[in-house]
Amino acid sequence: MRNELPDFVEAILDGDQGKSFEIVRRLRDKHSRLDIYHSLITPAMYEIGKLWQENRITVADEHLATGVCDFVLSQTEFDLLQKPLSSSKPKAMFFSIEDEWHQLGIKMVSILFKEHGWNVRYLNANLPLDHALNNAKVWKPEVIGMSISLAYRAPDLPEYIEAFNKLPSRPTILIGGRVMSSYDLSSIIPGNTMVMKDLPELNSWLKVKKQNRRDGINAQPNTSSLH
Amino acid sequence: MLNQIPLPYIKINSRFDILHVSDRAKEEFPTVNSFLDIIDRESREKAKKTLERRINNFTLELNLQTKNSPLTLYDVYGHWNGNGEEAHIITVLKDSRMEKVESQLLTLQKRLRNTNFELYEKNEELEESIARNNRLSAPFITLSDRVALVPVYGDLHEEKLLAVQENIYDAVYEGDYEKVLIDFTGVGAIEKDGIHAIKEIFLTLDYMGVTVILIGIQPHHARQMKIYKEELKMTCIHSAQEAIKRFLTGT
Ligand code: B12
Repeated sequence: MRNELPDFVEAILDGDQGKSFEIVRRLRDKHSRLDIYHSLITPAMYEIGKLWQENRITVADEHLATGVCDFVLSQTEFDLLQKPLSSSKPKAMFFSIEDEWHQLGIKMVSILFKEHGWNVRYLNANLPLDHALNNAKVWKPEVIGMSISLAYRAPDLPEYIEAFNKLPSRPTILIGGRVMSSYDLSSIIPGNTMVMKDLPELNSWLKVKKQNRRDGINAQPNTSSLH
Repeated sequence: MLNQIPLPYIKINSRFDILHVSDRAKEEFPTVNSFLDIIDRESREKAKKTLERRINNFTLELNLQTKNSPLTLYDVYGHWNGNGEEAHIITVLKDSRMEKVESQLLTLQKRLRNTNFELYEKNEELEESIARNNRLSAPFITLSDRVALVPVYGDLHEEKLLAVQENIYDAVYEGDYEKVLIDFTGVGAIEKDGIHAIKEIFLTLDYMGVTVILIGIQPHHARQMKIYKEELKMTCIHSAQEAIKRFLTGT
């Protein structure tokens, strides 16, 4: 997929949805969603970040590139929407915390959950705690996943985690995002929360969950962190 | 005079120490010694790289730390003097209207998405109940080891016939039937695609070695099915009683 990366970066910077999706569509014949998200779209957006660091593009270009990636992601989600939802599927909800607008990562996560047969609610970015909590109370998801990209937003995380931990439904809490892979936040994250650094790690977790479900083992919610 | 210009102005030396700040800059930024200190950690390398080149005039987008917010995007304009010992810097806040639009866009997206969920879920429920309804409008009733009766109710369209089809195939596959009586007494209108689906049921059951007998065909049904009647060698019997009498006695 490394071969396609430069073309893909160029296409998303040009705002060329057709070409970007064509690249992804062709790759989809041979590659999983996980592969494409992890080895094409994520590196492409990191490359966009690098171009900004090199003063070669502006934030306006980042907006455009994000928009195109968002579109492409929605396209890769499309065939999953055709499968019927069923109430027996486990539920998971996802969002980025308040004042955090970066949302591509958590969108990928939500699609992968769907792919693994979960009933998914994706609540976008910039979600205040009370909204998130209301949703969790009413819908009772088994998993709540959050994403955080801005370092200065990290101090708000424990508040979210504590609130979810108090729910009688005892959801498993997953946290990921750029901040989690590039800063050490272990001091502010309680031990019963799962911190994940990337999508392959998430994928392994999803597989174990699925196997456990098949074997009839209902994994204890709030198992300890993988780190 | 520089103190009064309506934009934050900062003068730095070659080590990026701050030599002077205008009134406006004092209002906007915290008091620090090095210009690098008001630059976000993850914009610092970018800033340094350009500053170190000491090109005459430069423009940069940087995230700066202000008194009000830990992270704000600015356009930073700079000019190094001839020997590269001092630089004059002006910072221009990136249009905050863009931020507003961005956050409104997010809210809209969110609303659309939630509406989608609800519609999607309602749609799912509806589809499930239609499918259930379709399956229930053609129960498969075993009359004997060899004969079964399928009374069909309501209007016939392709989707309903698909459900009916599934019901019949599943049951026939498991059992050892010779004849399946399909009772049309309760059928209203048959849509065009419905006729086609009926033909398919006929052919498939024929392959499975099962004879299909139609019961209770009304005149308008017969007219519609005429084109296939010959081709499929359909057997029609007027009423269910008669059919049951004929096929159950003697089996
Ligand atoms: C695109 C982008 C934007 C877009 C975002 C659009 C959108 N709706 O998503 C726009 C232009 C709006 C934007 C705005 C801003 N941005 Co910005 N942005 C970026 C950029 C270039 C790429 C981000 C991205 O999409 N990455 C791709 C995704 C897929 O990667 P990811 O988020 O890391 O997710 C992966 C993993 O972390 C993991 N993951 C993520 N979440 C989760 C959750 C779970 C549960 C799991 C299991 C895994 C997981 O899986 C993902 C897939 O591989 C980065 C640069 C960079 N190096 O990251 C800057 C960056 C993140 N932005 C930055 C900043 C400062 C901002 C702004 C404050 C100002 C600005 N414009 O520059 C505003 C902030 C607005 C706000 N309040 O949030 C800084 C942050 C610096 C810091 N100190 O924290 C960065 C690092 C750029 C920089 N070097 O300065 N940005």
